Amino acid sequence: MKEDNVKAFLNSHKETLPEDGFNARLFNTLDFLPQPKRSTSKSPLIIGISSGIGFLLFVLFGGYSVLLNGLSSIGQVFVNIHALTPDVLTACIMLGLAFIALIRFAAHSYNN
Amino acid sequence: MNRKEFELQVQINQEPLRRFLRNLCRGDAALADDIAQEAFIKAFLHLETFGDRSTFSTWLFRIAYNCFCDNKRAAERYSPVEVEKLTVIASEKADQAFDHQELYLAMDQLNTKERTALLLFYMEEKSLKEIAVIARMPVNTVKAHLSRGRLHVSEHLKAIGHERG
Repeated sequence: MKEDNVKAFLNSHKETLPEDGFNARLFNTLDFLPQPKRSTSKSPLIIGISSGIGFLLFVLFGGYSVLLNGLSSIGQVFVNIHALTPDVLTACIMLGLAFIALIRFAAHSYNN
Repeated sequence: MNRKEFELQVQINQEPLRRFLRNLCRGDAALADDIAQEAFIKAFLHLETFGDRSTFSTWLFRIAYNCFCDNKRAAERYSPVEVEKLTVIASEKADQAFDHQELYLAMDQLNTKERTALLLFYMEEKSLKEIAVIARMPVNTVKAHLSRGRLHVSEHLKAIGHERG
């Protein structure tokens, strides 16, 4: 009810402003200003170069075999899941929370 | 964005921006138009920094809000008395002037942040996220300002007998 009342009040006072030469005055001022430059975002270039370097390092240092070993190690953890100790479990939870925080931070930074 | 595209954006956004600033300045049309001009010029000079993360309108409103805050700070620094008082333009018709005064009196009940949130949300139909970007505050803070602003305006409307239902 309170919201409806405020909304109705503000809507009823929403005025239509005449242009009154505002645009002409502004455009006249813009004539004396330097023309805008095309925005040149360097992000795609930086992402491309970084990805290329990353892939090169991955191939040069045998990343594929390291990846396979890592995956099989993770597999071993699941095979021996009954031997999971509380400290390992705590570490896993903390690691998971850290990843979530990192993703949230990245998303927040991107939105701002 | 080139000059032609910018001019198109000026034509689209000048009215909502000037209305927002006029209400924020509690009816001082000259000051509001000066701030709007300043905002458009700043936007033009920094067009290369406009990214695709927000709409042009949100970006422009953010610049204008910053200009308004700078202006307010400067006015407070150089003037011992409050300069922002109700001003009714002489050429306006009496009824229209009264209508506007009613709004400005209601706006007087709010602080700048509450006024900003309320005007952007209800009058300019901006989303909570857009208001958060414009006023540089978290969405939850915007919600809190909206809630407090609603309460203050509602109490004011009740006091002047404007309450409906």
